Amino acid sequence: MSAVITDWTAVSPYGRGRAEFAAGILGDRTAVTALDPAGWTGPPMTEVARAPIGAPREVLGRKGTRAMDRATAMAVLAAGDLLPGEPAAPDASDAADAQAAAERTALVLGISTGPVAALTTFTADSFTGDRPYLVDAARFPAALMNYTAGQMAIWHHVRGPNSTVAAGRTAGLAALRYALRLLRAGRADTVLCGAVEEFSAERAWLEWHAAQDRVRPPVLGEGCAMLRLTRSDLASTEGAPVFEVAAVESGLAEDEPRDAARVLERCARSALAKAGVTPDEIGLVVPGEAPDAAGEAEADALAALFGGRPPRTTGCARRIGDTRAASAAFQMAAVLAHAERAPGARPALITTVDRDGPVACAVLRPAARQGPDT
Amino acid sequence: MGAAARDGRRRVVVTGLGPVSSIGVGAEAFHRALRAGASGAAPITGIDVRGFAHSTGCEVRGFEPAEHLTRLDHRAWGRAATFAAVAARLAVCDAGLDMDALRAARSVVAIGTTDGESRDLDDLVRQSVEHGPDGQDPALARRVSPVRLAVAAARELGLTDVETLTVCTACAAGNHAIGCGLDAVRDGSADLALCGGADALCRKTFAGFYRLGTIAPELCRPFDLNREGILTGEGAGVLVLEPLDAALRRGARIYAEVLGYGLNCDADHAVAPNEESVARCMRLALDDAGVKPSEVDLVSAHGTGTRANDVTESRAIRRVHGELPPRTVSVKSMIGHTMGAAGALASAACALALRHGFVPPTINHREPDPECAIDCVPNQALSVRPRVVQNDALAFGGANCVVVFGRGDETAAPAAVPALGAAR
Repeated sequence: MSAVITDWTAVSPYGRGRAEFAAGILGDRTAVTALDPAGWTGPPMTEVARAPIGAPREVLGRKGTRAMDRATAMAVLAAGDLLPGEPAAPDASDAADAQAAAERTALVLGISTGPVAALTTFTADSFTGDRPYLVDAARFPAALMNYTAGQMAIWHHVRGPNSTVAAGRTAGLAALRYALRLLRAGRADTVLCGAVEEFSAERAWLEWHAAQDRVRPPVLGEGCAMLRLTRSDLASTEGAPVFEVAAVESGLAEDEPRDAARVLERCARSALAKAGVTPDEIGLVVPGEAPDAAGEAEADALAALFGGRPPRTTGCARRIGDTRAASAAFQMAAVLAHAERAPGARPALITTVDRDGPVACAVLRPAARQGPDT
Repeated sequence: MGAAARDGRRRVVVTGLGPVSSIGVGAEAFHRALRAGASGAAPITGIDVRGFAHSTGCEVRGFEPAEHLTRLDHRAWGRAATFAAVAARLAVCDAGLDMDALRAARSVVAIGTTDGESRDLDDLVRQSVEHGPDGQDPALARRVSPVRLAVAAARELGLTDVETLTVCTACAAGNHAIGCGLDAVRDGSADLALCGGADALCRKTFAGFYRLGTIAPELCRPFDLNREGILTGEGAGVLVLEPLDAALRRGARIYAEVLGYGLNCDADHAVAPNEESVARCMRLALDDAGVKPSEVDLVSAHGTGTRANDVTESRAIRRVHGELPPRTVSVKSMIGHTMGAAGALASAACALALRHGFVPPTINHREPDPECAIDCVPNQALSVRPRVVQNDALAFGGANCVVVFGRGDETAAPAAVPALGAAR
C-alpha cells in the first residue's frame, strides 16, 4: 500500500491558501518584513515573517475563539481548505455518509514546543495573582499541546484518529510517517497531515536565548502547511493523485554536529534506495536550512550525497523565515508548488536536521496515474 | 494461523517494562506495589505549593537518575526527559536485550507526554515574571523542546537508526505512543519499539486542575460515591515491543501480547468526554485485536476519580460489554494521574497482571457509586488470571486511545509454535 497526496494547502507568510504560497515560492519572493517595534515585547529582533491573518476571532468569528492561539487558528483554517464543505441540502444518506467519512478521517499535527504563548500567559497568572490557583480555567485546555488538533477536530467534525507529534524541525516528516502508518494499518482512509508554528514574543524569547551563542538571531516565521493523504487504492474516487510519498526515513544524531551529517547521509541513501531512485535522478532538493549547526550538517550531508553535481536546490527558510515545527511541512508544500508549474517533474528530496538530534528525509514523486498498488 | 503472524500482520509482544512511579521504580518493585495496593500519595515537595489549601500528589520521591543511567548526563536534561531515559534503560535491561543487537536494529522510540519538559517551562515563566523575559535561563530555554523526551531515551541507549517522536495527545499520550509502536513493529518498519510516556509534576497543571476543582484534597477514589477528584502524579513507563518470532527466538520472557488498539476523537467538547465516542474507541480496539467484548476479563480504566470521567467511562464500558461488564480497575488510585505517562504505566500494570496472574485493586474505595455500576476490585488485589485486558485512555481534546493486551503464555502456546515451544 502506498499513499498519495491528493491535495495540500498552506497558511503562510505569503498569505492564506495554496495559490499564495505557490506564487510566493515560485516567484522567489521574500516574505520577511521589518518587525514593527510598536507594542513588541520580544527580544531585540528586527525582522520577521508573519502570516498576514488577523486574530483568531477575526478569521473564525467570536464563538469559541476567546482562548484560541494563532497556531490553532491557522491550523483550523488549513484543515478547512482540505475538507469537503457541508452539502447544500443534506438528506439522511448524506448525513450517514458524512458521519462515516468523519470517522475514517484522521488528523496528525506536527509541533515543536507547542503553545508557548498560551502556556506562558496561563502559568504566569499562577505566579502573579493573589493566589497561586487564580489561573484562567477557560484557558487551561489551550495551554496543552494537543489543543490545536482537538480544535481542528471540533471545528470540522473529524472523528478519526487525532494525534499531535513533537519532533522539533523534523515534525512535518514525523507527522508524515505517523500518518502513513495510520493509513497502512487501515485506521483511516484519509489523513490531514501537517505542522504548525506561530510567531509570538514568548517563542521569540526562547529562540533568542537558545541562539545566544550565534552572531545573528534567526528570522522567525510562522504558518501551517498541510497535506491530504489517501491510500493509493482509494485515490481514484478522490480525483487525480498529485504526488506519491515514495519513502520517509529518520534517524538520530549523537550530540555533535558532525554526526548529524553522517546520519542524514545514511537516511537519504536509504530513502533513495527504498524509492528506487539514484541521486542523479533527483530533480529538486528542498533542505530545511536550520539557522544553526544543524543546517551546516545538512549542507555537508547533501554535498556528500550529490558530490559535485547537486540538483536544483531551493529552501523555504530564507523566504518565509524559520518556521521550525512547520518547516518540513512547508518544504513538502514547496515541492508540490514546483510540481504544479512543471508537470512530469522528477522525484524530489526533502531533508531536515534538528538541533536536538533528530534528522529526517523524504522522497516525493509524481504519482503514476494508474499505477499498480504497491 | 502461524505463530508469527495473524491476518498477515506480525504479532507483537511486550518483553520489557520500565516503570518509574511513586509506588515503585522498576518492574519488580512496581509489581509488588500493585499487588499490595500501595499508595503514592503524599504532600507535594517538588513544586512550590504555598497558597494552595491542599496539595497532595504522587511524586517520584528520592529519585536518583544516576543510579540507573549509563550514558546520559541527567544534569543537562529536564526532569521529564530524565524519567523517560531511566524508564527506557530499565525496560531494555528488563527485556534482557543485547545492547549491540539493539543498536543494530531499526527502532522506534515514541514517548507520550501531556506537558513535555514542564518543570523547566514553569521555571522559565517564573523567571520571566520575576526578572523579565531577558532574565530567562538560556540553558532551560534550550531544553524545552518536547522531542527531547524521546531523544533522551534513545541517547541513553546509544540508538541512531531510530525514529524518535514525542506524542503529545495529553492524557492519552502513553497509549497513543504504544499504538504507534505496535503499528511500526507490526508493519515491519521497525524491528523493535520502545514506547510509553513521561511527565513531571508541574505548577501549570496542578494549578489548572486545582482551579477546575478537580484536585482531591487527600486521596483519589475512582468509582467511589464520595470521590473528590484526581491527584496529580508523575513518572514514566516504557514498554519494549518486539515481534513474537524474534522474542521466541531469543528466549525472551513474554509479559503479554499487544493484541491491538483503537484511537478516535470525540470532536465534541474541549474537556468533557463523550460516552458514545469513548465506546466507539473501545470497539475499534477490540476489532483491531480480533477480540469479542465477552472475551475481555479486565478493564484497566482511565478512572481518574472525577465524576465526569468515571460515570461517562463506566457507561461506555457497559455499552460495549453489557450490563455485567468485566472487572474495571483504576491504577490511578495508587499512582495518581501521571498524565502522559498514565496510559503507559497502566499498560505496564496490565502486562504484569497478565504475566503474574493477578488483578490490581482500586484503592481508597469505600462506597461504590451506583451510577458507575462496575466491580472496581476495591482495596485488595485478586489472585485470578486475566486473559484479555483492555487499557483505556481519554484525553482533553476528545482524543481517546484504547490498547488491548492478551496473555503471553497463550501467545506462545506449544500447539501454535511446535518448533519453538521449548525456547521458552
